[in-house]
Amino acid sequence: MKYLEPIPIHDYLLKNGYENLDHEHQEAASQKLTASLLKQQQYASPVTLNSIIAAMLLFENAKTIKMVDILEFSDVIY
Amino acid sequence: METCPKQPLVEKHIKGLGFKLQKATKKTCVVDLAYKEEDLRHLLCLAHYSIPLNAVFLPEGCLANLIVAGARQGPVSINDLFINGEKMHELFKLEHFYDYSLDEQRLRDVMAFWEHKGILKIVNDGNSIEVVDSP
Repeated sequence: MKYLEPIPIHDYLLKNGYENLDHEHQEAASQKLTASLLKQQQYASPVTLNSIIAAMLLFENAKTIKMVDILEFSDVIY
Repeated sequence: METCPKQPLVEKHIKGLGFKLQKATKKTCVVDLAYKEEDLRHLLCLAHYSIPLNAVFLPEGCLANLIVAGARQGPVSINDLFINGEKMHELFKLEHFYDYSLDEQRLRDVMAFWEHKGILKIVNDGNSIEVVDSP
């Protein structure tokens, strides 16, 4: 999946065994589609150094933060 | 990926976020966080860049919430934590946890990591945990 690329719903339903989608299976199909979209979104959310640093600066309550602390914690996650 | 970020790169990111550094390039370098309070937009900017971490660390975030909520009344039983964790796992299973299996060992591994970092203390023969007060 690429950014802004449309999702061909017909192809998706065929691939997932919903070629003759009736009312009874509509909810299950839409739930499955939602879950797979969320999954792809999660995989497309990389952990970047910028996001780690931004989170640390955001949550620090003191007036300053030491560079050694940022380096130590970003090393743990990154 | 496990890469040690180098100080110049980290400094570049911090400057890019608008913050000022004291003693830049030195080991004693300090980031002045006054910039955060100057304008609400600066806080929003940090929140915007932090948001991608939510999806990645959601299980740890849920666990941390359960621990913080439970720790207000003293040590938290790991068994209770696991029971509440299962409820949360059930709640989010169609949104975020569909490929995240919850087992006690996984929970203990996360807590062992936090204990190693000095955030938690495992007490009562490994059956309860306490949150270490930050200075």
